[in-house]
Amino acid sequence: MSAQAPLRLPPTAVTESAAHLSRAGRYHFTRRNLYYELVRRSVCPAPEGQPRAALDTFRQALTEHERAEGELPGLIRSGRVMLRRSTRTSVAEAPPDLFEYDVRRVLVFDRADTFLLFAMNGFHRRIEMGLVLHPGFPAWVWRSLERQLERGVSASFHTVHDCNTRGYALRRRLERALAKYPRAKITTLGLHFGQAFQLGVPVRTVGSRVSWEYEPGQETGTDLLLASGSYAHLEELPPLELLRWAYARVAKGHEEAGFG
Amino acid sequence: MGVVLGYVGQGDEALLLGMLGRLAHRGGPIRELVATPGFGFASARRAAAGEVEASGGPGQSRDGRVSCVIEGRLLNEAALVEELRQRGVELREREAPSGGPSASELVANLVMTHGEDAFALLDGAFTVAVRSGDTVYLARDALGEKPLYYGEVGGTLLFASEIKAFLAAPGFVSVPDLDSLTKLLVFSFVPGERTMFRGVSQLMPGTTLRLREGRIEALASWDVKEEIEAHDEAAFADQIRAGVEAAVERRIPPSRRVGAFLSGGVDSSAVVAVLRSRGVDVTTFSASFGHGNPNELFYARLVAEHCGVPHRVIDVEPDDFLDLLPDVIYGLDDPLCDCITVPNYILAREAAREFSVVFNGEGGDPLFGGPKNKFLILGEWYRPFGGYDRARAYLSSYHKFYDHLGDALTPELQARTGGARALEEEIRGYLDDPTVSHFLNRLMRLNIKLKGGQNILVKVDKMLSANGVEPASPLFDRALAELSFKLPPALKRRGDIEKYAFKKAVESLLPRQIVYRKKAGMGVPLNQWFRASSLGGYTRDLLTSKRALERGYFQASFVRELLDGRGAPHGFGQDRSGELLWMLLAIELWHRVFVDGEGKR
Repeated sequence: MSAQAPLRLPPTAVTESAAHLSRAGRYHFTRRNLYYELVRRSVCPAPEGQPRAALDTFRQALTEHERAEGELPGLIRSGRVMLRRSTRTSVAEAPPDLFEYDVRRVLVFDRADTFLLFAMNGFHRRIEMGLVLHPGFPAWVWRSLERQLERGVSASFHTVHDCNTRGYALRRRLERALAKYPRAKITTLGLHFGQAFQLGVPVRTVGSRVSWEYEPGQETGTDLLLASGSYAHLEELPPLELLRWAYARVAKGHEEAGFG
Repeated sequence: MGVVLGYVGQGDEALLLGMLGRLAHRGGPIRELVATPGFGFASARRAAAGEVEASGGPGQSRDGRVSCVIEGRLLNEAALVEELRQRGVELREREAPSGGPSASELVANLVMTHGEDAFALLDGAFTVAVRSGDTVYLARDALGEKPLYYGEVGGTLLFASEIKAFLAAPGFVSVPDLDSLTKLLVFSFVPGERTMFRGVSQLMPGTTLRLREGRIEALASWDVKEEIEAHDEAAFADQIRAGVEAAVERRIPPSRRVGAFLSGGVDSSAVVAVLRSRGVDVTTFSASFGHGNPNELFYARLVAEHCGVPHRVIDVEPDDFLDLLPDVIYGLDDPLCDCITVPNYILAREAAREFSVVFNGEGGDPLFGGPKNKFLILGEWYRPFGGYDRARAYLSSYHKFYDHLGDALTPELQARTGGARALEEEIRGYLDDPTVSHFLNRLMRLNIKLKGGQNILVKVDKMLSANGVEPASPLFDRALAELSFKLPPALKRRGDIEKYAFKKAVESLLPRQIVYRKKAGMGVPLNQWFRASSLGGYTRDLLTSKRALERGYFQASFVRELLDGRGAPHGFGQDRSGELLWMLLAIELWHRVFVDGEGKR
């Protein structure tokens, strides 16, 4: 994987992009959201065949930018760092009844950043769904779900992932984790290739890479696309569009949460 | 149903009669009135069966030092009479066939014997005004079934069951309270003491005010207390069942003929079932919002058939109610921008043709752990990750203007009202309350105090009283509320079943599919109405009128986006533009009716 040339981010473009993504401070957004917004504005080069390198380069440039210009409000900082910090925050002070309640529907993510995007933007409060980062995070939520399943109360898990081999493998990984619970039902929310095309999310290629977890032969069209190195990232959608997309897919037949 | 009103300061009989005239829809020929320099008060109510019209003075204590007028009913009257008898105070029997002492005389004698502690003894749906020497007391029932308002007009303190009585007072001018407008936009009602009428306050539920030497003080008020008891599920279910039956029984009128609003949900269905089990002659009423719109009429019919009671379905469509809207707004007084007020009004109008008392199922959700609590519980689950503030999440969850204040309000209005900061702090007080250890109970207490007594019950009282009908809300019973806070939260919400203990309590009364089905809510098809009925054009004409724009409240572009069906910007979730438009419409109509002086039709 070749190193990319250092990138300098024009401050105005970054600020405008951040304001656009956050809808003037209403939403939290990820670094990938920001990267792809800057790609759309032709400020950053498109990832071409090396998305990881492109994103690493961007992260470095963003760090430099924030060092010079201050932190961007609304930016979800490194997902893994935030999660480590948050697990140190105790839920021990929580009111005693907080985990006595069942949750019948759960979104399951394979990336920390997308999990945090949904959690920090309150998706779970809008439509009453649990949010879980696979495997088993947050522990207090996962334990509560397991207890519920052990009692024989059903729950449906909807996987949310990028359109790539790792993402497609999420469902199989989750099935293995929940195999002992007959009342766990698993479906895929997305992102898959058909949705990417419909939503206008660019389907890019990275060269021929197949995750060891992915088992080809299940869906011919998907196999061919994945085998050719095609992928699409959920976070090419700005946060509000991403939330709207997910909401539309889970809201049917369910009342919106709230006191209004 | 009845009226209580009065003055402290300058006033006379003419003022009292003028105020009574404004509230003729909820008054009646049985009157108690006294007007003296410096103080006067009055009550008016309908005659009970066999009672002759009568006007007289207020209820008096035996020693003549305490006088009282009351509106509504005391539900523990017999126990209070006995209490006084034990203390050697015998009350006069009335000459009416119903016999017994008058409620106002009862309260006057209770104050004589117990002083200010008397007010905590009263249970029911009532407001009272008491004069004891140089002190005046105003008291409102625990949950807020009956409203009472007070305010100063030209140096005189006025009080009345409805604000519109103040219109009879010389010098009273309806001026909008802009801080209350912000609250209204967030909640769709105005919580707290202030109202939309500047200078007019509401007496908070469960509160007694002492007025003495020009000072107004609030005495300690009723509140629910979390005191979890250790009983098993069956024992609690039995207690709830007994409590519901007692609450219903105490509200049955002597005629034993009532109407009942029936949605098909477990709460109203349970009330109907209990009434029927008591041999009450019940006719049920449900609203239909037009062919093709989702509704729960199937379940309402099922309940009516199960209980063997007549069921009337009343159509509610814009072409039928547009002309009524000013009357609805006038009837509400302090604005309530919930579109359900219109079906309530129309159903009450129908029920009033035959019934003087109409039961409803309001109260089951706030008392027994109804739906719409879990999303905030989920909010707590993910709290460590940030982006969450309890109070803001609560306010946002009303799905009204809280998330749109910056876009919707003009800069001038934003500058004058200071936004929602004060509201956030008020809500935080409830949600962070360490004296209530269970989070579900904090939510329920907040909803009882806020939505219950300041929205739901007020709406019920005003919409039914406007049609000359007495409401009965047995599930908003004080004893039931106190019982609900003895339940472990796990019995209010067992796993994913909301109102678990309540459902256990009533499951033998109703078909299982009524008790355990998922609640759908009263789906008024506002979006469709605004887009495809006469309501859209009517609303557009009003909201884009010069008069509306000159009020300077709302950004014209924001209103236009809503009217053009583009929805409120920046949101994900259900399209709530119909609800937002309804609120704007209600606010503009309120201004026309009260501020511009157009009145009702």
